[in-house]
Amino acid sequence: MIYLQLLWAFFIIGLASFGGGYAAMSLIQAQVVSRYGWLTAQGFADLVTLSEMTPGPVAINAATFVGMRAGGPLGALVATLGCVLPACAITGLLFFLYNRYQRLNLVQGALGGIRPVVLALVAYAALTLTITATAHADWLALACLGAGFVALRKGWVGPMGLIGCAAALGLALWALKLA
Amino acid sequence: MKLRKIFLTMLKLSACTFGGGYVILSMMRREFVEKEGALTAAELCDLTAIAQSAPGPLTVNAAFLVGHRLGGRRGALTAVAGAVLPPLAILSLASLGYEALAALAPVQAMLRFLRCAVAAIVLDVSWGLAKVQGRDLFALVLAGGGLAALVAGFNPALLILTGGLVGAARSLLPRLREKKA
Repeated sequence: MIYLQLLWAFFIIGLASFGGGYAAMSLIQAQVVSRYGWLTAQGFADLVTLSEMTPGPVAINAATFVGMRAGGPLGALVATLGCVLPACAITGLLFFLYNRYQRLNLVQGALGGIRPVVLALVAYAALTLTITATAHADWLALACLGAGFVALRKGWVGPMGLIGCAAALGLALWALKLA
Repeated sequence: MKLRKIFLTMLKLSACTFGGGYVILSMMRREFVEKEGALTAAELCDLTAIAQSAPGPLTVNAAFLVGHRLGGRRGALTAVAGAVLPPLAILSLASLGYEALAALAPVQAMLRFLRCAVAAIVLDVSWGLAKVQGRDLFALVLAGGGLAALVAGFNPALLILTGGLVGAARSLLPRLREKKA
């Protein structure tokens, strides 16, 4: 029974989450906390923090985390499947349509309108992430952010390398302050 | 590309993707476009557009599309499996003892800079996308308007739909002009 609920809840979440993980957060909260009570409000806050510390899309992280707590390993698997299935199905459908009709002028036109919107979505995410990362006038964070951006642009380091550097820097600063 | 390679590459990419789907786009660009030459930047841009137009985690959609491009239907499923496995494994473990993990001071310190790295990466992705779109005035205006709309709280899904409609309408204009003349 719980498995069906998990599957359904995350199917809905998977189906309605446009525009990236942060948009899905309010929906996840509505389902997981308000509707089914699988997490408390504090539990949900913990999930958000945990999602930041671990790799992977926040929706999949939520699915695994909640699924595990509500129904063990099978619950985690079922919830994740529920999230992934609508995504793959609709993506597959759109891709099929794209391949079939891409030469149509109309489809090219529509894509020409969607590409800038995608840019806007990513730029918006970049904006909110920058604001969050440098909150409370964290000048060091801002400097690191700028340096990181330049390093990426110039190709000195890749995204994985930058993440590694950031983790190492955080660890080093923590160790030094304590030492 | 061989299935095994697709799976392992996606596994590697997904295991390092902190902070959201856009980060994996940057990694995909570096891995598949710059290193392997299996995709062009323009192709990745289009795949991104399709991935965004579908619901669900961007990482999953992007993995599906890139996998399909590189290895057909089996490539798509292999890529998704590779993308989903790291969070599935890590979060399952973390859910068992996350309280201890979150309380660790070094984790907080690392998070502070991880957030900076993620912001820098997503900024870089934006820049890359902007470059591909080039000097198209229509695109720039639409992107600017879209950004303003998002700041004002406009729904992302509706924005994508609007963009598609505007673009489609624009492609019909020459035909309408012909009919009038």
